Amino acid sequence: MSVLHIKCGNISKSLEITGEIPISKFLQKAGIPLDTRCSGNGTCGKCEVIVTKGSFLRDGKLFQAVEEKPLRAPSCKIFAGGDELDLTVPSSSCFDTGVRICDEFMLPEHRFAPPSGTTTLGAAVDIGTTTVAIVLVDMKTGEVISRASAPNHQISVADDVTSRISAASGGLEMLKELQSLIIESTINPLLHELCRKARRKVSEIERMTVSGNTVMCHIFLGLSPETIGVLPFKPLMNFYPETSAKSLKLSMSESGTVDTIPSISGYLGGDAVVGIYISRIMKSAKSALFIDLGTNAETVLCDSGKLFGCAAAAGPAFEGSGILCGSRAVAGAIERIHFDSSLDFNISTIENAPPSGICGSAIIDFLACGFRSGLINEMGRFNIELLKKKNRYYSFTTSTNRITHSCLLMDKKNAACEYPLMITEADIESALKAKAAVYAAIKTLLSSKGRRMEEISQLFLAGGFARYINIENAVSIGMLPECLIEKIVLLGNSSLGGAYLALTDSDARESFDSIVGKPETVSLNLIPDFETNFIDALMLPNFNKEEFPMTLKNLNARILQ
Amino acid sequence: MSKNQELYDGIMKGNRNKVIEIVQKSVTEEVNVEEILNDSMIPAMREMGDRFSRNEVYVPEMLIAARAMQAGLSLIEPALTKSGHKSLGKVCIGTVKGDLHDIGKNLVAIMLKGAGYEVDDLGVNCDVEKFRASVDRGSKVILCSALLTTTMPYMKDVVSSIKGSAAKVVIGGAPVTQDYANQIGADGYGSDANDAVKMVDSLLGVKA
Repeated sequence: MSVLHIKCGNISKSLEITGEIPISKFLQKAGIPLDTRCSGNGTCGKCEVIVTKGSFLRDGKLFQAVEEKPLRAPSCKIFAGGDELDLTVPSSSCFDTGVRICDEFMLPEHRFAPPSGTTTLGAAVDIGTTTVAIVLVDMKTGEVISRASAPNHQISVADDVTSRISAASGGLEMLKELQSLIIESTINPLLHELCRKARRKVSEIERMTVSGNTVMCHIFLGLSPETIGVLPFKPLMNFYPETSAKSLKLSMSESGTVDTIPSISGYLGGDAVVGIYISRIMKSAKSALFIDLGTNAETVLCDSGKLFGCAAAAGPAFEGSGILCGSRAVAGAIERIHFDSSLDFNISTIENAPPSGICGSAIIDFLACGFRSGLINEMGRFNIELLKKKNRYYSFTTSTNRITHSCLLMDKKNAACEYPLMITEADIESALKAKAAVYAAIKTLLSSKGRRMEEISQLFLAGGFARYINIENAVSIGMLPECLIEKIVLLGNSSLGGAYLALTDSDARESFDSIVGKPETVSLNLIPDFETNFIDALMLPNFNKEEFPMTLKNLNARILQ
Repeated sequence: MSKNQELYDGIMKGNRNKVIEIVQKSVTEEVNVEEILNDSMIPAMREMGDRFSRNEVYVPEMLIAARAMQAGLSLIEPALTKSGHKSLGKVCIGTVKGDLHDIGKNLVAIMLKGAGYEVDDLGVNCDVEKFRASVDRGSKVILCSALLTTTMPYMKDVVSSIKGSAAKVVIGGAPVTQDYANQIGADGYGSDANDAVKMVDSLLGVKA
């Protein structure tokens, strides 16, 4: 037994720890909102704590911290090693609840004819891997009467979809814990918030409709997503039974019911189904594309009425994961950067709060301006001389003795965090891999069906990320095809829009069911071109320069000046 | 023959067309291909690997260079076989059962070839039998890759099925850690493509 003295922001606690559990697990049980996005594998480094006094075990070795020499360690890898242990949980290791979430959506023509007989209140829910958004709907009129959103609390256990599957596969108890994190820790508090805002009661909510990716819907309903994690990636089911709110412990009417939108496959969920419906790509005379830009970019091509879908694992780099000063879209995150070769950074943050991190949209801006200004070359490497000349050079040695070149955006005294804000070459590498995955998915999906980018009549982009990025910059770094820049349509949170339609429009709801069997799933990894396309797309903007004539023309114009 | 600087630079810069042009010319002129492999191509890829380890190059440059290397290798492989070329040893590599990701695995395979090994590439979704069959064909080291946390546990099956034979198992991939390698009793862990090559070097007693 040891006594743990914990400090985290305003929280101060002393607790007894018994048995051999990692400090991270203990902190989470004690109610500290610790970020363990790699499920405690010790790979993400997000759950770091500062041990100010006492001894602890790491990899079987005993470490001793004293006040003059505090030690930093990932809390998922350490165990109490003595009678007492003093530790501080820095705010950067806590899971931030103030993330900006897109709850706006565009809808095609629709009518108010609810499939359920409810006349009180309905809730339309979008369960994303990272965020959850809900609208409360007056079922007499179809009017949205309040909106609310929050991060999906499952993030505290695992970051991306596959690690979520692994976590949920760790036995029934783990699955139940994840289910409780989405229902009791995320959705229920939002339902209360929605009703408070609208001055209504949660007991008036008679109907809930849910849209989300296949894994999220499985966990929400208490179904194991295990089979989605390995070949052939098949979910337990595609159509979900109607469920009672009571059995899911939802804060709704006792007699409330829940309708979950069906999934196409393990990696194309209800969010893709409603995306296909809302974008109307099937009505397009020529070829059209739908992409939900997120950690798993679901991409659907409609070619002469036939649907083909794939998912591209872009990874969470644009959510700030794996980026040294990366951040989710919280207040204080740098969301826009603009600069030229003078390297005078023009920066804006979310809610104009003091800068505390860099979010995905700013990383895209940084790459685009960096490439344009000659700070970053086509391989994603810095012009070190320029950095040094402008006093922006910063370098440090990693734990494995590698020197990492960085560009200093803001020194410590101007940043609202304990370290200077910078972008490293390793960060650029992560961003290039993410953007290459998206571009390679588009190109491979099209070429596998004998189509060229130029033949696409419209490109629909769904998701909050697409809503907030500078599209021109996303094109000039080679994430989206240059030839389609004029054909991009932003849909906002189409998953939430789909949940709203499922609640209010019986025709739309019927169409969702009929879409499920239509797309042919394309497995990108089995198409040899995918690797070539991915490698080509790792360069700025692309190895195949002819695919980005305008971007490079502008670049050359700058050089000639 | 000494180093062909143009070929060496071509691989380092990932200039695939240049590499193809030079290597094709050598093949046509029936120059000793073993010499261009040993004197120019292998040193270039080894140098890239070392720079990668020092953070002097990153994955994009590495993949582009590896692609140029592979283009050159494909051209000389028939001639090498004919000349009875001796490699540093035979190893096999594959992505584990249930997993289809292979870009990282392919990079390691090219790096190994580029370091002078004969590589039996088993592709993706490899079960224990596939790895065992390659050991029967003479592979001294098995390199196992997984990109998903959900497929990684299969590595344990590979390790335990190989126990008792002379072959060694090296594991790697995004979710894999040294801790995990220790836990399942793998002989080695490669934290990145170059590290995997170094691990094979050390397991086979090869001095680079």
